[in-house]
Formats: sequence, C-alpha cells, structure tokens
Amino acid sequence: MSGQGREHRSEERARSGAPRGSEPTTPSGQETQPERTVLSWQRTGLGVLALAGLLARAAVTDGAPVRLAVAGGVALLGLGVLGGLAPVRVRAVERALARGTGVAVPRLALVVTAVVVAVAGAALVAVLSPR
Amino acid sequence: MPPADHPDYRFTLANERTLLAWLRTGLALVAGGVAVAEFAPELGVPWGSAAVAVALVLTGLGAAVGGYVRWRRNERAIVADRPLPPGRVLPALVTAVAAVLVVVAVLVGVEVLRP
Repeated sequence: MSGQGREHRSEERARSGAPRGSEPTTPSGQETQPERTVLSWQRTGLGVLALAGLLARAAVTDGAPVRLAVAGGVALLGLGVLGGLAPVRVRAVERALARGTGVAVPRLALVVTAVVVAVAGAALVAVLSPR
Repeated sequence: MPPADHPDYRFTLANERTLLAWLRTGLALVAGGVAVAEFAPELGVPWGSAAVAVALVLTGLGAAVGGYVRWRRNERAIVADRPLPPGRVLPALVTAVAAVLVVVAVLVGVEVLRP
C-alpha cells in the first residue's frame, strides 16, 4: 500500500471515528489478516495432532495401552482446535468485522493455551512412565 | 460519530497469531522431549534420556504459559493504546533451550567416549 493512500485513509479515519491504528475496519476481502489468523489456528491444531501421532507411535512401540489412550485424548484435543476453535474464531472475526465491533475473544486464547498445557502434561506422563 | 472503543482489529489478530506461534513453539519443544524419550532411551548416563525429555517438555510448557502471559499483557496495551511492553519470555526460553543443548552435548559426549 502506498504511503499516500495511507495518509489519505488515516485522515478519513480521523473524520469517521473508525478504530485507531490506520485503515478503516473493512469486512474480509481487502485484508489478509483474518485469513492468516485462521491458518495460524489450523497450524496449531495440526501441531497438536502431529504430537498425538508421535505419542501414539511411542505407545504402540512400547506396548502401553494406557499411553495409547492418552495419545487418543491428545488427538481429540487437536481435532477440537482444528475443527472447533478455528472455525468458531473465523465466524467471530467475520461477524465482528461486519458489525464494526472489536474482534477480541479472550476466552478462545485461554482455551487454546489450556489445550497446549494439557497436551504438555500428557506428554510429561508419557515421558516419565516406565518403558 | 463517537470515537471507537475498540482497537484496530489487525492489532488484535496479530497479537493472537503471536500467541498461537508461541503455543506451536511450545508444542515443538514438547514433541522434541517425547522424541528424545522414544528414540534415544539411552543417553550418556542412566537417567540422561529421561532428564532431557522432561526438561524439553517443561520448557515447552513454559513457552506456552509465557506466550499466554505475554499475549494478555500485549492485549491490555493494545486496548489502552500504549506501546507493547518489553518481552521477557523470549530470553528465558532461549536460555532454557541453550541449557538443554549443553546438557545434551555433554551426554552425547559421554555416550560417544564410552569405552
């Protein structure tokens, strides 16, 4: 985006009372930010799934059914991020942009952090269990 | 029109992606710990593999929690239109990973030099 365009837009913003920062909030189509954010959520879910695969492989190699169940639980958490939190977040961002309200949903950040902490706890149990 | 009571959505989303990047960094460290326990069960000394694995998993846990704390502080700064606070999580993470690497190097040395 050219500097001239930006200046022009920030003047516009000052008049219209749009959110501070720079360009006015527009529904998706002009900005790649919502898309990048969704991809980031999906990568995080895929990361949890990859870790579940690693835990499952280790459990099968060691013949540990309990740890295999734990790996299954981790996989469900990964699917939850990929198929639950990510689409929920997309819709929340789209709605907020359409209405012109703030896009922050602090609870989702807490939930996804809790997922990763739980996954780390499961990995700790797997690593410490006798093999 | 009244001034907006919420920040530019791009700041909020950028901060969110930073949190998710921290979480993925944590996941990668956790996966590294699991991989050490699985693929290098004997490393230098009897407890070597387990110690490195636990250290990596705990570092990953710390990255996730630290990333969340940082996200929350950034979020407050963005809402208040203040500059972002300085980050302390990254130096801590780098120190932890470097310490683990030193331990791994020593253990690999012990393993290689074992008669």
